Amino acid sequence: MSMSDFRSELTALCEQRFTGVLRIEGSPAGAMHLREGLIAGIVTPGAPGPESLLLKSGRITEREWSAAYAAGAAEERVAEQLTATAGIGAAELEVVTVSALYDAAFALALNRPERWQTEPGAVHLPLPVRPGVHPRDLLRENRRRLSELSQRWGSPQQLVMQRVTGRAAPSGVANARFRDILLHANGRHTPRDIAFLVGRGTFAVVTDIVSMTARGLLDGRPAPAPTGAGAAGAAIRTPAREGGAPAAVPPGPLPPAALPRRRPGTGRPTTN
Amino acid sequence: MSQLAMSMRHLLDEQGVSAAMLVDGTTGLEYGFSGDRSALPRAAQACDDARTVSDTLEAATGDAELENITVTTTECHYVTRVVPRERGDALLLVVALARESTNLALAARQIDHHARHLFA
Repeated sequence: MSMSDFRSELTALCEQRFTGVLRIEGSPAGAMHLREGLIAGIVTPGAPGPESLLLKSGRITEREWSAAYAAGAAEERVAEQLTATAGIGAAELEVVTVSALYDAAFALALNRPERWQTEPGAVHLPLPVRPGVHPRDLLRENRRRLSELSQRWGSPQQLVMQRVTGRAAPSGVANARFRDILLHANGRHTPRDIAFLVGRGTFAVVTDIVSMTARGLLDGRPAPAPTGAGAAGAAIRTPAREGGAPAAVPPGPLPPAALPRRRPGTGRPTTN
Repeated sequence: MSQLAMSMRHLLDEQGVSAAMLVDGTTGLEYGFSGDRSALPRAAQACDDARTVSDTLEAATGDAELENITVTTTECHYVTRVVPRERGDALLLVVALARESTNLALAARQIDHHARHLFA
């Protein structure tokens, strides 16, 4: 099965105004929920869902979520409950749910799906996107994201899998987003892990990681800036060291973690 | 119609506004659009442009944060306003205005007002 086959399947489901679940096997796996051919939500362990984004970012509390879920999940009215009881606006919820949907699609697009199958019939979602996202828009956005990361870094798959190691003290960084990432950039967490920890989208975290690496705040190796005209801002700067000299760029990607790893059975860490 | 769609449509009621869009300031994802599609760049391009300006300012001035960008051509004003949020990444409200029918100072105040109330 190829990515092209999957895109064709999704387009066909949209044309048929399919309502149901498209279950995708792969790494990560995922479930795409369609309503009348439009995508209302995507559930995957590869990216934080709306609930995770709301809770981890501190927008709402566990108690508020539980109460809203208990009162509204059966009729898919959790959003209305949250706006009524948790002090979160409808526009804010819309941004969170739409961004989570696109982020989940990005996580699924990082690897070729192995198999997929359809299950007719709507399944209740706590926070569906209404009326839904057209598959054409989703596929176009995925292409853009993968292309942007390829230009700015290299392999998006490797970037998302690599463990992130900080090269600066969080307290010395003014940008709050960068500071949050640095707090978790301990050589053990991948960008996906950090996204879950800070309650942000995987692609947003990955985008910041590329920018931070270019500034010398993280270990890593961005791709050489593309020559000629490109998208503004796509070419990231070579991080400058003190005194203005450019930082040395290693010839290839750094190992995934600079920290010692524990070897099973030995009971002691090793740097190999 | 969603809350965001209504907010974006209300912007078109302002004098001179031909198009408006709401863009994620980190990912470049478009959350809302109203008006003439041809009057504005793609959302991702607007995000890239804002990032470039922000990076340049950061390098020049330290930790100063971008608030807005105004670009004027012979025909139009393009205003990009950073939309603050209590939680979550900043968004960009990007508005195209016909130059001949726009008082830029007044328009900037109105766009600020919309930006502040998008998530109020």
